[in-house]
Amino acid sequence: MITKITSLDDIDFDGLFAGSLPRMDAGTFIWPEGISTEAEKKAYMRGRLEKILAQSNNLSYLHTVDGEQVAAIFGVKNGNMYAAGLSLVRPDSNGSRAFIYRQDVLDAQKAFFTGHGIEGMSGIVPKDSPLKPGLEARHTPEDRPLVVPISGEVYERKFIRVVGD
Amino acid sequence: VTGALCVLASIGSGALDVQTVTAGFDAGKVGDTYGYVQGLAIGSISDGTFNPIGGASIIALYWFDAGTDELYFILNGTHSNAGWTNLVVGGNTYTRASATFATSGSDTTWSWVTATNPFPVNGNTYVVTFT
Repeated sequence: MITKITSLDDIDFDGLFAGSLPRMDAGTFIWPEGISTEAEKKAYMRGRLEKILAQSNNLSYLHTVDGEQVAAIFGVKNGNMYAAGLSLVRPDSNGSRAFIYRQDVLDAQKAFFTGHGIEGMSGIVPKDSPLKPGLEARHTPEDRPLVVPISGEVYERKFIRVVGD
Repeated sequence: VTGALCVLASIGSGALDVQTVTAGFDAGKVGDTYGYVQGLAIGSISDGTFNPIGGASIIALYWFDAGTDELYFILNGTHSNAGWTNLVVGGNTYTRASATFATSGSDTTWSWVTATNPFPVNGNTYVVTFT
């Protein structure tokens, strides 16, 4: 089930953050300089998320799978594109994040996007980000047309833009 | 003085160009983008034609919040670092002389490290004056 998030009060922020932190600390998220303790990281993340939620084009959403809040995606809608900024994804009660591959979860997300007029996704990552190779490798047009690198964009020098359907 | 009146006042003051940015917002993993970026459907600009440099198309005018916060002004095409002196928005002046200047095969960029977000409110309009 997917529900729109308009406030952090809509979700189990503490639980989702705690469940996501080990992965973020393992390298999926780069904390800014000066942010080192768990409390600082939590406050920083809360601030970033609240900034997204305050936008008029906020389209953040919560995945509840088998009754558990397992993933919160924070992003905005620009035109017919969805820009996913940040996410909190924790393991389910079985200790697994495999739910992200479940067809019913993917179908629910697709229906949510379709219902909001979303036709593609975009993301901006630093050109030298360690995430870039993985994004490009995992999301090629031939493989899974979710994310397609575009060259020659505004951001090419410093960023890449990834879009797809 | 706001909006159209501000544009008229700026033109009257001898500005080389005046642009109106309707700020957009884009969420990113590394940081958030505020302002206008053509092609990403972030915000909009009027009229988007940069008169001081031959009517070049403005393809981005945005502030990027990513720790080292930066303001970017990007034109389509390759141009020399000349033709204007100051970019003024929200009471702040960014000089061309103090900008980091870069060109690629397809665009020309001036950027400044600045903690001040000139386009802070999504949906609001901001008058950008070039002198």
